[in-house]
Amino acid sequence: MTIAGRLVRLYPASFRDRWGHAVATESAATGWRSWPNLAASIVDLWLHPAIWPAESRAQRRGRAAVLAAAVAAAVWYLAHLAQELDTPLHAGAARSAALSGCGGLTLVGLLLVAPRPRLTITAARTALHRLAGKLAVPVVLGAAVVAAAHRDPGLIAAPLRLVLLGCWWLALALAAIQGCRAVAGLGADVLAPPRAGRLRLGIWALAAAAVIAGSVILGFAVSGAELDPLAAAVGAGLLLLTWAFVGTLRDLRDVAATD
Amino acid sequence: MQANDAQTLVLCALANGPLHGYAINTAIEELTGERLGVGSLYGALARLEAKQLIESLDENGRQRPVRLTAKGREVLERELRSMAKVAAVGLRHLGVNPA
Repeated sequence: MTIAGRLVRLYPASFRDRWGHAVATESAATGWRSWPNLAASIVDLWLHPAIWPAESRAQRRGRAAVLAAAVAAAVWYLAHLAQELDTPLHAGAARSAALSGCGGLTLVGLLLVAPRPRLTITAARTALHRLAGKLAVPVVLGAAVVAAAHRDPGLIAAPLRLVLLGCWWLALALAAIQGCRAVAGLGADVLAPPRAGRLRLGIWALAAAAVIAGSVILGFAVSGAELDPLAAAVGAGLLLLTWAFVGTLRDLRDVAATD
Repeated sequence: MQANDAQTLVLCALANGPLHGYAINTAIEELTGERLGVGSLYGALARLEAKQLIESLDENGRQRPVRLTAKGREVLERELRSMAKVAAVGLRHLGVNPA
């Protein structure tokens, strides 16, 4: 397979089905000069699921909801990681009321954007089967870490500590990724996408939580006697992730404006 | 939208009638002197289709032409009128007589 063909396979499936052949043909004709533009376009499309070819508006809303949940998970993960590591941030901003409030706001946002399960036996069985399949590895990994830490608390101080910590954070990251993939793979017969108003409100809440958390962490990073580089990077990263929420809100508005 | 915006250029290219992707880019090259990147072109097509400003016609071989919808025509006309107004005012301020 050519490099252009490999790049085309990185596009979202619905876009690939619709435009993939034409993109591959033109890209092959243009050669390597088309690759940077193609790569930028792939990233751009993954960040804008509401504009992928779709069969209905509900499908677009469902995809936007999954993206919002995935970005919120990334925000939570980064903020949580920065607070839990042995850095100045751990002792300073980690326990601040603003960051606790962000956690609550994120939870409210997630509840608003979450697709609602259909109340049928078949839908419940399908959802549970898929979630169990996707989440088995992170749950087992996380449980193993907890069990090891409880069985021999001495491990916490031993050289194995880093391995255990790495496994714990890996389990959390896998759980977030696989959870979003599981929801994204469930069809309209299992999950009902959120209504437009609820979805927008939820994304606004998630965006606000990301902005507040990013600002608090960034403020802490630059307000001390010395710059805390890790906190600064995390704070800036959280503010950067907010653009994904803004882009999704704009896409939803653009798509709705033509209905 | 702006004059050099990929979506506006695609809409302009389609104003003459339905075209497939490669032909759209050729029309844009005739208009601006350079082709859009492949990713930019098809990203713009996906966005325009999502906004229902263009629609697909039946496949012609392995190519699928697209055309403006009524809404797309309306949006393009509004954008072009707005750009023409800005261009006319700018040229007048520069003391240049609009062609």
